[in-house]
Amino acid sequence: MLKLIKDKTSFISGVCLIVLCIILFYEASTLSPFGSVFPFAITTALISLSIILIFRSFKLEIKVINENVSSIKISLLTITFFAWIYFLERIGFILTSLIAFNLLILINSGKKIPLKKVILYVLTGSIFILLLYFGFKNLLLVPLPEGYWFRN
Amino acid sequence: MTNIFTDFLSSLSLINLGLAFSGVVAGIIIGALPGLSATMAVAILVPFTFALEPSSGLIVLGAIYTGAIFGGSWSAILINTPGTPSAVATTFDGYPMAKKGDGDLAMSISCISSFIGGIVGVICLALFAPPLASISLKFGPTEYFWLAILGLTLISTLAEGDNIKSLIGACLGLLMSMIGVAVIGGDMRMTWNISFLNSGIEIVSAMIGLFCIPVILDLTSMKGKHLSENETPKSLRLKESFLIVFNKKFEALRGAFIGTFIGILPGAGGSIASIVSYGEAKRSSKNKDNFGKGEPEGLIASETANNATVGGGFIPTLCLGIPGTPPDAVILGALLVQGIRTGDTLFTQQSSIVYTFIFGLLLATIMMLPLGLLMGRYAYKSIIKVPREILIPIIIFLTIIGSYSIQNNILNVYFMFFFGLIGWILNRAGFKASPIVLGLVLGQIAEQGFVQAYIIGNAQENILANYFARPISIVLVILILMGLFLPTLKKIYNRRKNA
Repeated sequence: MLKLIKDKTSFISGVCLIVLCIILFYEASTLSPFGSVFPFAITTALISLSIILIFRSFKLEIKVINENVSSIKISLLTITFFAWIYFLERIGFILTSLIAFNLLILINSGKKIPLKKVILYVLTGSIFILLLYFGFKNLLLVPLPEGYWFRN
Repeated sequence: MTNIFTDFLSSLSLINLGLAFSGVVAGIIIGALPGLSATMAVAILVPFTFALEPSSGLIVLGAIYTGAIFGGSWSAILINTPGTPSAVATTFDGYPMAKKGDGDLAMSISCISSFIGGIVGVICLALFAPPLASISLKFGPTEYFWLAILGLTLISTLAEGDNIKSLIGACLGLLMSMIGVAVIGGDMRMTWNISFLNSGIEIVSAMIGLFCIPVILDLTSMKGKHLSENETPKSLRLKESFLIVFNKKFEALRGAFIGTFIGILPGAGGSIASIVSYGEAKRSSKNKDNFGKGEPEGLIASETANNATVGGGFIPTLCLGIPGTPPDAVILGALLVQGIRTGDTLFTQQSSIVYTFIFGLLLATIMMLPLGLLMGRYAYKSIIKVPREILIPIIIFLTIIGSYSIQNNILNVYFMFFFGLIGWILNRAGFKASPIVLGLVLGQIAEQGFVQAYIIGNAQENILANYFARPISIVLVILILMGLFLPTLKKIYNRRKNA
């Protein structure tokens, strides 16, 4: 069976979408007629398209051109990104941003860049953050989080 | 005539010129930052305008709006992230141009095209506002539904990549738009008892995530420069840009008229306008194979249309009191606070304020050309010179601050992050972000139109006739079918012809 599939990504996507549609169909069946008419219409369209995708995956392979990924860098970046958001309200915007921003510079710098340049990047980045923070806070009046761990 | 001339002179006062200038600059900067929309820019400044003369206040709001819509193209071209939803189609050819080393050319073409679109929109507003406003009343729920579907089918068949996957993406976007309270009926849908889903998905934060995070993750793994640099960076390439736009003058005007017309329809806005204009440009172009790979014609189509919606959107706002776009709604509020009553009589009884405002809008659009060209050049030069090691944290920082500032809510930042990761996975499986985002943007318009048409049809005991037998609906359905099947039929025809 698996050998017959020419485009495995499309096949898996199609199956996942059909499962999603079944869940959404069930969800829509619990709603009022006005609330459910559009979800029914769209899930029907989605099921039809997913079936076409599955059938097509047996016939031809449409290659998706993707650049190679550096899984270590991506994992580190994703973790830092999430931590930046997670600690934003807890330890405040400025502190979190300064730490996460500079950590991301180090992650992306690697070993090839001289220390002098890294320090320059860190300084530039920190100035950029402070400028934008004050711009957003004072000019655009966006109340950026100050951190509730430091509140009395 | 004398009165109109006096209004024109009044719009040229030093204070109005200064306000238009600063409004355009502020608008461009705000529009270029992902997450900061034209609506937000206009809303922030409304209270400041109360201290000004009504016409001056309106000029500054109009200038910000004009600048912000144009500014949205910068991030679309330079980091593949539309600053505003109306710049989604700009990413199709703008970013590939920047990647090829033609970013400066793309920035200039986008500015010139926005200028043309803006001018046409404002001229239509000044000359034909009352008759054009009546057209928008001919659009009922069914027509809005089909218009939204037209936008979705066009983006699915026009965006680079797999058409079936693009249509699936559009459906996924529509499903995402249903999360939260139903527009009709008030049901709580797809929230699975998660309280923060009750208010639905914030469109702009989802858009930032879906467009920006895949770019960030790809940049992390990338080797070499993030954007290619042109071999002759010292040349302004202005002559080249003007020449390109001049050679496509009819296409630019067509985009501007499409934008103005769609702008007149309340709620439709720049996102549909730029997609429809892009679709029409691709359909009629000799270089249709280059669309999506960095074709300037695609950029011209998208940018003329989205800026033309500014003038177009003011037509129903001023004549009928029905805002064409969200920023129009904020400006309408400002008008009411200033004691200006919108409606048929506005152009006769309070013509001096209206014409001063229209001339101010015209001035702002004219100012946008030199300012946009100059600022765009520096923005491009700066982005290209910034090393990737620092560019990635800067983009991440902008995504966080942008999505947070929409509602000052950390949940929007989590949404942005979550949608970004989903977007990256989907992107690697061949599903593009633009149909998903447009589905999310147009979901409510489509659903409201669909359900209302269903209710009306049900009451008339002929549901199908209500969907398919109205004159404008018939035209829209034919366009949808053409958009869906014409490319495939052409391919089959060409294959048979060659065989």
